[in-house]
Amino acid sequence: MQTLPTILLFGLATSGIYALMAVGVALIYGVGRIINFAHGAFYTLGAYLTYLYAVRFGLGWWAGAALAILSVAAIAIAFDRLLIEPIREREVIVWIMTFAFAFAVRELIVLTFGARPYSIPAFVPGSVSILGQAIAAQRLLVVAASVLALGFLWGFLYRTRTGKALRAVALNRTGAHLVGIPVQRAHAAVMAISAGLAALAGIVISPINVVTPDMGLEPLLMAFTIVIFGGIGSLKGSLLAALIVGYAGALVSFLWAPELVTFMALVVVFSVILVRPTGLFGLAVERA
Amino acid sequence: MGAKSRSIRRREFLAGCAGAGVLAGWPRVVRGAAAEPVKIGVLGPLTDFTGRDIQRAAEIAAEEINGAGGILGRPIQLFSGDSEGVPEKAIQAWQQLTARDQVHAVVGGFRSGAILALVPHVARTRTPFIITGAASPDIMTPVKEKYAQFKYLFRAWVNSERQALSLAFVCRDILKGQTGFMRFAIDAENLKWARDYAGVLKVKLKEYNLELVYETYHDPATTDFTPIFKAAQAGKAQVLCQVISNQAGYVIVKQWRDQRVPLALVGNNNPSYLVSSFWKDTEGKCKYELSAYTKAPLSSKSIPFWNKFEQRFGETPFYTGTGAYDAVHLIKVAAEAAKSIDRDALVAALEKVNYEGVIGRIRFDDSHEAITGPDAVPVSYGQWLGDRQKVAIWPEKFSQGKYQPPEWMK
Repeated sequence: MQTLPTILLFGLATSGIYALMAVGVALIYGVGRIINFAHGAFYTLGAYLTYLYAVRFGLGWWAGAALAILSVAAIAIAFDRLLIEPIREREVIVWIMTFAFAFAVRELIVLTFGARPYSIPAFVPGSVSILGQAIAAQRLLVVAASVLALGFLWGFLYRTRTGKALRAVALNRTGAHLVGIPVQRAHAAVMAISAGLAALAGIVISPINVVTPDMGLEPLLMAFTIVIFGGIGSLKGSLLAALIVGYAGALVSFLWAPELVTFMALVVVFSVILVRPTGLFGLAVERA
Repeated sequence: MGAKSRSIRRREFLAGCAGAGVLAGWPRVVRGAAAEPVKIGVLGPLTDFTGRDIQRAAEIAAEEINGAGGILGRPIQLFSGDSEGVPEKAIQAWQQLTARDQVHAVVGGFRSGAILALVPHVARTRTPFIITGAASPDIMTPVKEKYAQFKYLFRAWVNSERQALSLAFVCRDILKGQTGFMRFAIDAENLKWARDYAGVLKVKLKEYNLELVYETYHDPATTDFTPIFKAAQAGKAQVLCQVISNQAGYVIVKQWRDQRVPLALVGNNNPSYLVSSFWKDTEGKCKYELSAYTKAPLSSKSIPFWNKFEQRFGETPFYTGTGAYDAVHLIKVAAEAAKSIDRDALVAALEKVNYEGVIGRIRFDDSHEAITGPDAVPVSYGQWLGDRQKVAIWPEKFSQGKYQPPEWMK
């Protein structure tokens, strides 16, 4: 049982990253009605831009990270306004566009940085001992950053006028438009917030892992798993599902075999789609 | 009888035509030979450091050879083919090099899956290929089985089985011999070469009475090694033998140090071969890792080449590069021995080379594998003890220091 505190903390850190990604996917679908396959590209861009600002522009890691999040949010707004808005009503074309954007980002990264991996140092160096287990302090930062960011997001969506307006668009676009909510701006705002969260996830996890052009693939797959499990478009469902999938993954990794985690995620997707297509909290449930 | 007569007359006629053709073309061939370059293809994942260093090292070798008069008086011209490390791209690149660029020989290659896919194409195009990266033994198996077809394949590097033998020696001589560690775990990426490697390592550990308490094969995309560390510790392992060729090599080292995992970390870790940058890229967390490939005086040419490469590019060469540098020189040595760049003549000459290269003394066995060992092509092992200080530990012949267990294990 020496492993128990490790499983608890690792499950929480993994859940945090999954939640940051999944909540963004759910928000973009809920408000913008887009299934965004480019979400992993925002995660990857966050890490690469942090490296760019910190190392090549010499801004330092914390400033580089902050600027990277803002940059990714700005890129996401441009993506939404220039590439998505003109085709928003054509669902399949939008899917293809998000795929194409993800590939374009990958190619651009390979051309600019090369395919070699990069390393970002720990924002909080060293280790801390928890119940006799040495844990990287960076991993605690992952947990803290996830909890804080998701807390702010909740406060924003449920306590501010703008947040309520975004939720209104999610509930009824036409109605929101009729009462004067600028729907297009709502789409762009949600894309920016979601991309910023994905970038944050990519940035805080990079010191523990490594920065590569394909680093966003696995979190994208897990985010979709969680969104389907939680109920497409449901924020509460995504959060709960992130915790379940994160801990299930930790248990599978530690007690069984780490290579089975992705397989487990796919089993979850197939099972939910077949047994309960609305997931834990499908939109129909949340709206009721 | 009449048919025989006609046949003889036809043969004489054809021979006569051929002779006349040769005589008529002779002056042009001779004049052309002086001007025509020796075309050498450089194949590898060129946007990655594994292929980039093949290109860089081949350029250095070509410059040196051209500066000294070329091969048989002809300059070397290099042509690049980007395999991207995947089979379909490797085949495209091979076709481009052999059909469009019409190279005389090819050097490089990385990723066994990609190079295995090339094997039939090498035979079909009859183009000598000196492999300097891909490690699967299966690549060279056809050389002995169907020599006439596959004799164009050579490997100026150490295959995964022989690399595994080296790690087994390190486990026996250094980890057991110097430190007394007896219980071992293996973590290999789930790729063909790594599975081949781990298979041999398991057998040898047993042969040396070293206990294997845990083995696992991780997904190459793994981003968290903590469960593997825990499982190895649960089996009371003292040493974790890693077999990793991709970016996971950074991740395992960082997480090992962050968690102060009480396991000696040894083995094949390709990112750790980047002697000039691995320390910095892992924030020094690689300290105490003992892994293959380091700057060591394997021959009189080794250190001068490493220094030259580092001065020029600001980085030390990846192993695919050291092999590629030697491979280009091998083509020169073979061509000059054969007095020809004819493909079959090159193959025959390569089979007889005894060449002191950067990677050691290169001779090929009957599978066209470089003969390995301290007096041939060794796999050196070094331990990270500081920035750019991957101190050569094994083989003892080249040792520059003594192995130190991680400070948190003392």
